[in-house]
Amino acid sequence: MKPDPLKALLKSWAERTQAGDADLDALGARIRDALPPVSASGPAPDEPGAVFHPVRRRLAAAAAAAILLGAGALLLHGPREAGFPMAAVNGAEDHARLTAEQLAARRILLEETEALFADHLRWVQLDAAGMHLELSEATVRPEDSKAGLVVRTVMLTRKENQTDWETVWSSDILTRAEEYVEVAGNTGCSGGMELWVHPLPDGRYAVDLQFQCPRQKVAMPGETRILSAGRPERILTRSAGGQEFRIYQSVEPLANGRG
Amino acid sequence: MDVAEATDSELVIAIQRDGAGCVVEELMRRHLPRVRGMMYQMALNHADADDLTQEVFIRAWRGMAKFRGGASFSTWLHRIAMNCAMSFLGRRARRAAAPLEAVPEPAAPCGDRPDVRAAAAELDGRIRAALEQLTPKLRAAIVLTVLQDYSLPEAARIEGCALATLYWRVHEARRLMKRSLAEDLP
Repeated sequence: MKPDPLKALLKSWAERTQAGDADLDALGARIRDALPPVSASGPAPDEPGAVFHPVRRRLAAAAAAAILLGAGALLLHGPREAGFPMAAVNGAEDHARLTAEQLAARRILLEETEALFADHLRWVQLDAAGMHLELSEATVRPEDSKAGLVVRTVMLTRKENQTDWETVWSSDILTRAEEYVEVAGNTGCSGGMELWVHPLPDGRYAVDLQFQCPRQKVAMPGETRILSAGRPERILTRSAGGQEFRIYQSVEPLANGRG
Repeated sequence: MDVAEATDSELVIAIQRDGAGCVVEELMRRHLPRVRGMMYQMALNHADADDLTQEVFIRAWRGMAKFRGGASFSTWLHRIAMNCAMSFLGRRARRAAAPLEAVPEPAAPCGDRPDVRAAAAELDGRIRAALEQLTPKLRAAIVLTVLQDYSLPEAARIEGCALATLYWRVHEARRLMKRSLAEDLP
């Protein structure tokens, strides 16, 4: 077998850094103390609060500002202009294509929102219901700032005997490369979405998406697609009950943003 | 039942049936070192690795009644572990986390000579820094396939992603690691 120097290097590091027997014994005792008592019926059911949960800390002021901003954006642009067509159109991939106007609007929105929240912004999501954002308690260090981009994800549907597509759900995520985006399942049909974009040396993007739409019983496991900027790609096709569903995705750099 | 000879699945069934404490002990004895190692490789910090390992076993214990044996117990447990690690890294990214270099981890002894220990500590620091530069998903890919010796299909099952996706992540993670550790590789 071909030698793998990287594996050998990492394996030796793993051996040097593994916990010793005494440390493992102490950890095992600590875990046993923390486990719920054993009963005759086996493990106790889940009890909220016994395990420390991630606390999604969002500043109240930010939430209020987000509502104002979201309302403002919708008033200024409206759902159609914001890129969420409700009427049926023929070219399915066109739903996932961002126009120059939309790109310019999103670049300004990202810059203004970042300025407003003094570099605490992690991502902004736009969909037909409004605007959502997540903030970090930490500021983004200038040296950590990556290129801004927008990722559009669109779920379309049509009956099997129809040609026109209708938008079930559409979302634009404005964020920075390498930011791990977790959107809670609170928008339209979305039952939650995870997104992560990694720029490749050749100028394309690896876009990792996990998506669920319980209402339409469509779920997409985590998959990475290699996308070229401005070229929408079909990433999922499903048929159920005489209805066809497709998910398209596109990514565009927000070139004049910070970074 | 001879606990020491039983398979993981047999032990899980015993726990589901009557919650035998000695069975829990045996399962923990078998899996604690590997889970703890994996959590350190993801968190790159011993204190966080201990907390994460505890969280993994508590979650596994609470979810034991739902385990139906579709996957091996080990794969199921490591999937819980990776979920815990990813959530933790997400939380850490949202906090004002100090750079890892500012919180040096004690190097494990690997020789009596101070110069050998110092060189190993420096190398360990470079490896940790290289791993820290990887995004959580890329780090998970390299931890599972290179450090934990999972096959690509097994690692994809643990990560809950497509095989092609996992293959790509490993490829990209290795490329970035090789670039970061170029001076330490032949």
